Amino acid sequence: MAGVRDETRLESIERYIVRKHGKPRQLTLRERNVLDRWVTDIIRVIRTEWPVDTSASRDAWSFTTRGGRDWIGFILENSRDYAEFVHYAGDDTLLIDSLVPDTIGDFAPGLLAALKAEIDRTERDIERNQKRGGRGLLDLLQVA
Amino acid sequence: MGRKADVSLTTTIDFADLNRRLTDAENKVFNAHREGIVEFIKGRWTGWIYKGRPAAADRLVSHQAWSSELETTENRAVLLIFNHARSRGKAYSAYVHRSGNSTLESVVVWAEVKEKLLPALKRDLIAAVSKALTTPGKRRKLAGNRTAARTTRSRSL
Repeated sequence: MAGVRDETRLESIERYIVRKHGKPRQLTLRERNVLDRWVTDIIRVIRTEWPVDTSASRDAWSFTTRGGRDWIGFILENSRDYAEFVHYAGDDTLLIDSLVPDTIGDFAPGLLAALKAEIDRTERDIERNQKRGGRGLLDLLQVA
Repeated sequence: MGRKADVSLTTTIDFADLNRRLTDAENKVFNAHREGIVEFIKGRWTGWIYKGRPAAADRLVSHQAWSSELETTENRAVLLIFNHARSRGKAYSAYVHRSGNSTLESVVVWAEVKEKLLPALKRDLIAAVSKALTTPGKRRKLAGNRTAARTTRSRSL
């Protein structure tokens, strides 16, 4: 099985959650939606910048996001068995070592800021929920 | 309510005699139409009354949730259009309808897609396949040697 698997772990977000929540926790549905939207944009840019004459590998990019308490991040994958060798004409630099990490780097500040803002909102909601006698995080995990 | 409340629409084009996957050029044709169909649906999926929803609640959630996938094998291409919008963690897009009309909006929109857009997709795809069958293939130079293992990259942010 060839192709590409690119993993980005958001350890800064995991640490941020511990700081704000007091211990690790999974992402809520709203926080996952924020992550999904940003990773969708990352994939869109990678597809846009991928060489047109390899459109099969361009369209084979997909992503998975993870929001578990022990691993938060996203995984980009391309199942085409030549995707890891694609480069621009006249330039031997592999796009999995340039376009992909560069695009992720470009979006990283915005993604991290947006996710932290949503985490802050969640923590405020947890506090309000608990003051009303609710279950805190358990009541908020699936709220969209 | 769960997956049944999601919208999932498929259309399949058979290439029984092709015995190969679609080429890059053919995939390009298919994907151009795929994106056009999603944009068409999104254009129709507006003007909601949002009856019963709080004023501060998000709008256009299901509008943004329209997406598509394309799966091709040696003998067929499957276009999947779907909507997995969630409200309070629950799927609902399949139940959406216009005020005063009991027909589900996804049914209305898909009927329009089938009538107006799918014939052009099939026509262009068949034309691309026919052209490929009569055009000599291009050699594509690849850097390096192929290996069986998936190439991985990882980082932490």
